[in-house]
Amino acid sequence: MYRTTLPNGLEILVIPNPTVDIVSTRFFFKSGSRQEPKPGVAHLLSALLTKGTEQYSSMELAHKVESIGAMLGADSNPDYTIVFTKSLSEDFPELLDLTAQLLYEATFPEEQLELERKNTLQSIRSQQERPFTVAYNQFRTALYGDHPYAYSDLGTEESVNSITREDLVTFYKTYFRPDNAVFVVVGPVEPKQVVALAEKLLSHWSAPETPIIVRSLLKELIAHPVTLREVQPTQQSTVLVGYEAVAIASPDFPVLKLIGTYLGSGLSSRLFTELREKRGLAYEVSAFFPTRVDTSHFVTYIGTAPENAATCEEGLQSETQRLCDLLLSDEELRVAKNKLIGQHALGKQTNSQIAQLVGTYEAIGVGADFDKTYIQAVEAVTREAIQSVAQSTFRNPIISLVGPEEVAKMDN
Amino acid sequence: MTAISAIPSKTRAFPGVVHTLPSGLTAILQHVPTAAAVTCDIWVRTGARTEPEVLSGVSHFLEHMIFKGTEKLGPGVFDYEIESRGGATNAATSHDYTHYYITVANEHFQETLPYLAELVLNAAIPPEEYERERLVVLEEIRRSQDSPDRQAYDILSKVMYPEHPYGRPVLGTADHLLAMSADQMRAYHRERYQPANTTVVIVGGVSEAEMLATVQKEFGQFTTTTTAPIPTIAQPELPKPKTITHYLPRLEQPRLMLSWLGAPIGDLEAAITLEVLGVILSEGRTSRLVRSLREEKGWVRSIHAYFMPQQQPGLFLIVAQADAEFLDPVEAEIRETMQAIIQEGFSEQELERAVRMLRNDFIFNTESPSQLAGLYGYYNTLATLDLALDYPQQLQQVTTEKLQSVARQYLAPEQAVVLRLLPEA
Repeated sequence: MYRTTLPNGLEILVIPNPTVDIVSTRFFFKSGSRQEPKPGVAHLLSALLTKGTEQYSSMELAHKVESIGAMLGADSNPDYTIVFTKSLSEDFPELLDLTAQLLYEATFPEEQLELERKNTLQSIRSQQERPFTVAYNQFRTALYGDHPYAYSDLGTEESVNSITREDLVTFYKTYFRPDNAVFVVVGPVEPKQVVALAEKLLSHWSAPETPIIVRSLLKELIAHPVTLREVQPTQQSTVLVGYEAVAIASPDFPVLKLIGTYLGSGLSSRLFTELREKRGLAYEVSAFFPTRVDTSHFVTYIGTAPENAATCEEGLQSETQRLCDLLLSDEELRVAKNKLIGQHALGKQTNSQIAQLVGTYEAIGVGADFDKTYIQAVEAVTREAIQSVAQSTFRNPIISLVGPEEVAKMDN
Repeated sequence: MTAISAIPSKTRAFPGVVHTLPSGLTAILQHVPTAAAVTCDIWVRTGARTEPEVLSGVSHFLEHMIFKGTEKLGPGVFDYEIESRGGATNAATSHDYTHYYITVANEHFQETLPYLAELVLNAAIPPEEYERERLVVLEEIRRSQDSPDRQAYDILSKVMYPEHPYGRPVLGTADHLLAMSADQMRAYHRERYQPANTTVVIVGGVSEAEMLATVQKEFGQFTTTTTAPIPTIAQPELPKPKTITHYLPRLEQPRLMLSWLGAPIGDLEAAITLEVLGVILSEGRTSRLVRSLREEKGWVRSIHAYFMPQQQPGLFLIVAQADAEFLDPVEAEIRETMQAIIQEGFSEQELERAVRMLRNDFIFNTESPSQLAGLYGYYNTLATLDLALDYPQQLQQVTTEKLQSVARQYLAPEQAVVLRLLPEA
């Protein structure tokens, strides 16, 4: 990996990979929906970013990208915002020229804002069509209250209706600056050529005098056990049991990732084996633990026949409780580690996957080397550490239920 | 920096090797020297299309039961052996194929492939496991019924293929699953999982000699036990044009779907031309339908036109998501657009853009060993491996005249079957 920083503060990471003719790039901005004044600003900004620059209209930009068969887009995340590209290597210089314009010359046309606002509102309503999303949103609201982590990246109907062009421009000016960005390039490229090209296209992109505003971290959450219910005439009931969980910088982070693997990853995971293989209660049952700069969450969930919802809720909780009560066997621990480490490696098979992973670590403050130190930390996890982190995590379950009338009647 | 010469094509030799074992089994092997992982993907030429109707859903249910082990491997042992080595495994069933795959680090290739071969060839289908796994499949069906898009597709398929098995869901129905026995499933497994119906694809960082030796060893005992041919299924008939309206609870935004019967994948020229048509109509903001209906008029939240190639004629679909008051004008404009392309044809620029996008998509989608293995297995199962290798060249052969004639042949607006999906009042 080649690393340098331009005088304007832009960090550049280049990972040469000569095996395929595909160049994948990402500009990461170290600010995402967590910094939003109104939920949905970063998402709308991403939707509008490619829809006009000082030089080109939305259609001209689209025409330039599509005619070389490339991809150029933007996306928001709770902790960062990205502008991404993918192209054949011969088209990379031309595409970077266009991408550069999005970084400092985007115009956010008013009519495009109205179009994307309307589409975003429809997307927000359509979330109701997916029972898991309903359950997950309900859980996040209960856990995070009015913190931005409470909302899906789309925002809420109310907030999206209130977003103005000024809000987008302010977010853009505040955070889309070279000293808040990381540029990652993976593909059959020469690092020196990439840097020369970046200097040519991006050195007049300057950081404003104003400091970057970083929203303070969450106050300590006071999660208490609660059961939430949404009645919908679905065929299955969705049972989600979630908990407050540590941020990426915590020493418990690798331990909890390993717990996530043990419980929820693959066909041999504990939840899959116990609830699906042995009891036939579900098709989909899993667990996940998102990587977050600030207080994250750990979720177990299952989709099941309404008459089995109570059994499943009990089944999910008894598995997390088991980790608090018993030590894993050496064999279970070894297998979980092999799985996590092996699957982490399999997740780096394409240039886009590598760019995404390395860039994320750099952008959220743990550094690109985290990819190595994280794996070393996973290797060092003990059975006792698993138990102790399980005990500190699986304390106050927030239960979120979506399904037909039966869910309204389930006891706590 | 190399350019597009990296695309496999007929003018370049296939970068791997193809072996036919004495039993009739096909092995497609490709060494990728830089790959740290290797994918083994077993494809079987059987699926919902060739199931007897009383066994509707058996291919998919069998795919579940395969993971329940053999006489030698207890339930869950296979998953454990692959995943405890850091590997990944899964399977998929469609109307035309069933396939099972593992991806593991190169050093685990030798010790994991035997598990996959044992699992797929020697499924025991234990009765108790059969009963329990049926519950899982019933949950999978319930789950699909909670997805409006899945529902829409099932409803439309039934109308498009009233007399053809493509009209039945791959998952089957609860009634069929409850009526089916483990013995029937075992007989189906024995009959269909024959060497001549099977392709083993291996792509990754292991030498081809090692791949071949392992295949010969692990699949050497896999011999033909029946010569019962796979049933021949008559071609689907062209459905009569009509409009159907369906109401769904929990639908937040209406869907509008226009549908036509396309070409079989074996007619690669027509299939690729239909794919190009889909890109011209709806891939990217400058495509005809997205530009007009989403970007300029703002009538739809999304619109997608695409061809779903299958062994027998698959569907060409145009699917829009829009508020109810726009369904009429959106449908009218789609029909006008189809009329216009048939009568007035296409510009060279439109064609060039679409070909370039599809050519690059092909490159983008053949980056990892698992993607390559999937591509080879899919084409060899539905048609021939040559077609996968021919794809980039065939793409360059598409002309504006060809586009117009294929559009005229398959996509006449007056032939469209229309489904409107609306929220229940």
